[in-house]
Amino acid sequence: MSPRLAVAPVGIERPATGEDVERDVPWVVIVWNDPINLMSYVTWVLQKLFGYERFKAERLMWQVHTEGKAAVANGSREICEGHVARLHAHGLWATLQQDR
Amino acid sequence: MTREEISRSFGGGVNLRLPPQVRTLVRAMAEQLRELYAADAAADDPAVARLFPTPYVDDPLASLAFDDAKAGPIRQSRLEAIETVERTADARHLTVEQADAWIRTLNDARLVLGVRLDVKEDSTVEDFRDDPFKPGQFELYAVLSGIVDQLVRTLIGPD
Repeated sequence: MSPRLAVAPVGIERPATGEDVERDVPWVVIVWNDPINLMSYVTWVLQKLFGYERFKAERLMWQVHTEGKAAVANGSREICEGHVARLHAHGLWATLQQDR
Repeated sequence: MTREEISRSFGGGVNLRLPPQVRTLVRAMAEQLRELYAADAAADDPAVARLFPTPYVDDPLASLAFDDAKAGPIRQSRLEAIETVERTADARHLTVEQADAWIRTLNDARLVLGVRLDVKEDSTVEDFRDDPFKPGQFELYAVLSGIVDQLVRTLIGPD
């Protein structure tokens, strides 16, 4: 890395940083590990809410359990808020964030 | 909770052969959750906070807006499940929808007890011997865990 200060080039357009760019970044629903919810229960909730087959729901449950969290769904912000609300209604610790 | 007490019904749903004291416990849990949601101080209760987690880790304003829109419907869906449990507390057979309400309500009761006891994944009753009440509460938590686990396994089928 050169210690010299770089001089900013002039006459170059900056890339757009408006909301259109933000809107294009998809959202993701995260389920976090907790010491109370049973593994069987988490599997059941994921199958019920997202229609996942047993194998996929168990794989996500194990990821939550061993890695501390897992992305269980994605989509628009509105869709993800709906997923998070349903997960909360089932007692899972869920959050949403943009998938950067 | 054994498979003899909670089993899949041939016509769909779940057969319950539960001892009366377990049914009394189920009713008591539903009633206590109803009181918890009605309490004015509920917002400051960490157990209630666990039932309504913060949806945005880094955005308190978005979390407030989420609560404005979603907390009411979430609370309502919990109250409807509680009503179903109270109505079917003595039933010998539950439909899938009724079993769903039992699972969610009893799991919410586990969440409240678990937060109050500060349980860990590997907690045992021995961890609470220093307190006069906590061993009993942990036993209750364990009984609820057994019921929830067996109901879920009955609904999703064998491994």
